[in-house]
Amino acid sequence: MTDHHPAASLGKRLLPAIALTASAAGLVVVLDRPPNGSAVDGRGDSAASPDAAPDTAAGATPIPTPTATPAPTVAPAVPVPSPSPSIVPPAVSSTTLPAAKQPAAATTCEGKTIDGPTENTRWGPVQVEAVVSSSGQICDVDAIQSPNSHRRSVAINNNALPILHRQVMKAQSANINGVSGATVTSTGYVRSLQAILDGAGG
Amino acid sequence: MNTLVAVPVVRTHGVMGTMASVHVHDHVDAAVVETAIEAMWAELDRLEDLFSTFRDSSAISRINAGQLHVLDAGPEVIEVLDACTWLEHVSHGAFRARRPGDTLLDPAGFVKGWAAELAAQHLDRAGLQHWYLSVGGDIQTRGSRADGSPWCVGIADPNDSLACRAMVEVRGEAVATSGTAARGLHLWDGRTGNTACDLASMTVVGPHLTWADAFATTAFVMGLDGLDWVSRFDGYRALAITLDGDVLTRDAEWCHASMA
Repeated sequence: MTDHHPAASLGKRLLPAIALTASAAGLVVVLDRPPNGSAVDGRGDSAASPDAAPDTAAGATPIPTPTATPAPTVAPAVPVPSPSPSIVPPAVSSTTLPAAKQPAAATTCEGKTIDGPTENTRWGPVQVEAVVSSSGQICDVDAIQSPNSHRRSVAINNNALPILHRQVMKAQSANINGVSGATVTSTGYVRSLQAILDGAGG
Repeated sequence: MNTLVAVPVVRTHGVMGTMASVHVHDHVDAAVVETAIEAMWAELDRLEDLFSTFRDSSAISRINAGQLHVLDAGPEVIEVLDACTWLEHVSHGAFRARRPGDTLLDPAGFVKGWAAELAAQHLDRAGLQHWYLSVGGDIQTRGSRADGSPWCVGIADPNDSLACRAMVEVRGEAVATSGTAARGLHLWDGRTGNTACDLASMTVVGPHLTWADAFATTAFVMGLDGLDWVSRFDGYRALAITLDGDVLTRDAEWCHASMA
């Protein structure tokens, strides 16, 4: 696996990232312009570029023409080194209903802070601190001890989601509605957390 | 704040070789909810009949057997193949509805999310505003839970079906995960035909399950590069779990949101 996360201080890591982001944003503005009328799907149907929304509505409501949104384009030949949201996927009949609401806004949740036990994981010792409300909901979880000795783990801790303590996750699962994972078979479902959440498990 | 008191309606349905579950938190007439859910299951079954490569009678099987021309296969088949073509272009071929060297169609990497979102329109049409639908771990939500809090979706631990490695909170968004843990090596890189094996799973969150699912499948075979690839799509973000169990994302905002 390629090492995308050299261990370095957060500051050292952020500066080049910001510079890259700025230059990439410029690149994307140039490169992601819709290529007017170019038929690049190789199927010869000149009327429908692959960047345009598919024009059949599967017997559902008509697909709105995506005039307000830039047509998704074929990815630029130059690799884009940093996240630059710029491509809007086409509307298909499954996506014509109301746009989703905004992602989760922070909800207020207050309670007392509890330190968990230190647990040795394969990545090193981990101890978490949880803020638990009076109703038992876990408002916040923070790693107060994390496996900094492990090179990859350092990168992860600086760069990615905190590694959640498995037991915290189990406790929190009382509050989970669903589980997203690789598709399980109908048989596998019986032993899954989703089944328990659905009240169908053992 | 007004707290709605509603008993969530929970229903499950076996479809597409997996299990679908829906939780509805709307405070409405139970008959409305039941009717909408039944219509949704019927639609999922219909779409499975149309696209399953495991059924000789499906449109895809008949196309592959030379018994049906693509252009005669109806608008839904053409729409799906169109969308697959678009995905193939924006992924530089990492996504394909045909295996390299193989002329047979297999749009399975796209159909599940698309079908789930299409079928869920029955819930929208019934006026339901607070629900989540999971089809084999690919989830579309609408609104929030009955008490106004966001839907809480655990990201499965690829090595433990009863545990989660991370959690995301969503209001109306979709969450889809691709991986090989549950069914072995069944995902392949469209560019090489090789099965993908860099990651344990790839999760994508975004407005539409159609694209969250398709992007998760595509980004999974890209490995860690898939994280950046997903970020290029407006409104979509990705989270990967490596074979070592590390949880990775490029999205700082999401990192914060998941801990809220």
